[in-house]
Amino acid sequence: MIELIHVDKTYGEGSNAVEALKDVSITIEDGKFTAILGKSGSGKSTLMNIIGALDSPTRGKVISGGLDLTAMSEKELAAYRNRSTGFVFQSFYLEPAFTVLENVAMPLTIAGVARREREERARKILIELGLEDKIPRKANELSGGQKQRVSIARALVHDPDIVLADEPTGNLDSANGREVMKLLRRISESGKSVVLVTHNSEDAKNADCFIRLADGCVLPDGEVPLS
Amino acid sequence: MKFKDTLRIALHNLRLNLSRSVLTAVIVALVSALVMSLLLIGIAFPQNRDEYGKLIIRREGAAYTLYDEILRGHSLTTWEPLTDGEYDFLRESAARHGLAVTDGKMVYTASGISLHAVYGSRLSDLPENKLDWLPLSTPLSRFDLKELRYQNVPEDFVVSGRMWTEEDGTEPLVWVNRTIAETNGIGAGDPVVFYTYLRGSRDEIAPYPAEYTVAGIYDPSVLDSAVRSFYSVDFFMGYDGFRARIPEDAQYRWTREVDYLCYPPTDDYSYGALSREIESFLEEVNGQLGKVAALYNERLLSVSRFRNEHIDEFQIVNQINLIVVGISLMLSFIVLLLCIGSVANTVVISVDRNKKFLGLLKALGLTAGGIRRIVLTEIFLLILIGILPGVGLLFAVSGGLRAAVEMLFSLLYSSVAVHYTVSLAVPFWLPVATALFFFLFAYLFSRKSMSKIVGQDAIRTLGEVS
Repeated sequence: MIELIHVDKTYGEGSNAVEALKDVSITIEDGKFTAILGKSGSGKSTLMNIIGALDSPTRGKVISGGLDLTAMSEKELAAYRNRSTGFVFQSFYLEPAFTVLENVAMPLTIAGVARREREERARKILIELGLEDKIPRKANELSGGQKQRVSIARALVHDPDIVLADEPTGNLDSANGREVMKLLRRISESGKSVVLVTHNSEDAKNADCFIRLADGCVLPDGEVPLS
Repeated sequence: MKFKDTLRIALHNLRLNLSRSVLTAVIVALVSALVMSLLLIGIAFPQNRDEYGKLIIRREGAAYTLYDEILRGHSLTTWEPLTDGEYDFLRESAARHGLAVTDGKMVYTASGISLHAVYGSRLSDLPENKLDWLPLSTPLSRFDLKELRYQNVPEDFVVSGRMWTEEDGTEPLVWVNRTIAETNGIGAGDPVVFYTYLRGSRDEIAPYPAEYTVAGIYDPSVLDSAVRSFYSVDFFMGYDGFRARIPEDAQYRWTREVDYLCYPPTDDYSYGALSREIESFLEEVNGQLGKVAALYNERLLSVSRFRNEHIDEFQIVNQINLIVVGISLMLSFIVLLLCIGSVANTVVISVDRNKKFLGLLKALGLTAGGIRRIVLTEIFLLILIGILPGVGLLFAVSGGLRAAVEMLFSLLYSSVAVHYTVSLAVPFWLPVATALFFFLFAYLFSRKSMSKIVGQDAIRTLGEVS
């Protein structure tokens, strides 16, 4: 379970200060598919970055599995990200010159896992996601949908507690988008927490819980953010 | 992250910018070869100077001279003899500087005898015109049998009669040059009378005859050219024997001199340490003796009384050594700085091109230290790939470098006829030290760019390139 308690996030200082999040207190339940909804600039990506320890709040606390992320050092946060979180980005962020296997194994490479073990684990997850034939291919030889599935495999390879997906269908056509959402739903059903950041209400339908944001504030249940 | 993976990622980053990386490696190869060549000259010069200095000391010794006279006007010498106190101090100081003094003894000379050839002395007037005129050349001032044993004179040097020994003491013995002996029909065992002219007053010169026995005939031609001139004088005799023949009531004044020599026992010693010891000995003695005025080019100059010939001769070499080492270091540094700009620039470009990838690695949990290690490995690889052919180039041009150093040495030592082969070996640490300097400066030059990417949070890095 991840808890955000009275979290503020302000970028810049003085007259240039921009309040991205204002007094956000939410709970991400374990094993649930949570969708963070909001229009562009509502603070949903900032919220996801704070949940995933990619960014730190200006004020407030982030508690994950009983650990206070706001009290951790940079090194501890890096270890937390490597161990407990899996990211799926809109732009995939695959290294084009690396093979699919190498890209997927990257979190394990960073963790210092031996080559044979990390390749076995990466291969296993790629087979599970139906990408067996793409294993030896370079990332730049894949289609958009395949790239996103590879990036989901990368998010899962180290068996994280939570998978965070930021607009994962943003660069995909609707068919591939649906496939990706099905995949995320399957991951959630397997018991992992999934957090989806989206402005697409179709994608959000796959979620169990919803957090609606507008101007950096969490809206009460039932309220729908302006799209 | 394991080092192997860091290395793989660094190589991957460099490959993304292949043409630039290759160009930089080529520049590093050329510049490192140039830097190592310059440093090698800077290293080889003092090393060879030391070896050459050792050779000279081994062959000729490092002799000390005590300047005891003040020159005033033309051909007029006034002796400034050492006092008992000064002599005692010299002996004590010599004992303290054991490394700089192998042998030392006090030598008496007489101003009236003019052993230093100030007057072009007529020393002998032999009966039957066997030896009519003996010019007393400068080497004869070394009336010291002990000194000769260090010169490694071969056994066939004395062609008839016998070699001198220390036991000869005050015996009236003389060794005659073969050419003089043949010209004048002298053989071993023959009696020879020397007439020594001593100045009784300003206008009167009194002859003092003394009979000697020719103990041996020597042949300087058996010696090699370096020491031949020293042994080419007309005769040698023991100083004690010579002095014993001078009457006590003769009108002359004895002057004390000190004749010190330094012959290090083997090659296995530090030339630098020996030179420093000799200089320290000179400084200590001169500090006690004070300076004297000497006439040089019609000007009276204040000069030190106690000097070492070897140190004097090597003074110019040492100065040139300083210049060579200084120039090689300065040029190396300048060339290195010019090249480092290229290395740092390549790294900065690589970091900028790989910003997205590095940001992703951070997002996936790589620490700031891990990112720094990747960039440092890139620098290391660039330099390593460049240095290796650079070392090859250095070996390729080492023959030319040796020729350059040899030419420099032959110019410097043109007056010393001692054959010496310049050695120029590339020390193992030279490429390592050069690589370390390249690495250090490349790191310093690219530190700002590295710190920027290392310190920036992952999401901002990714955001900048999205």
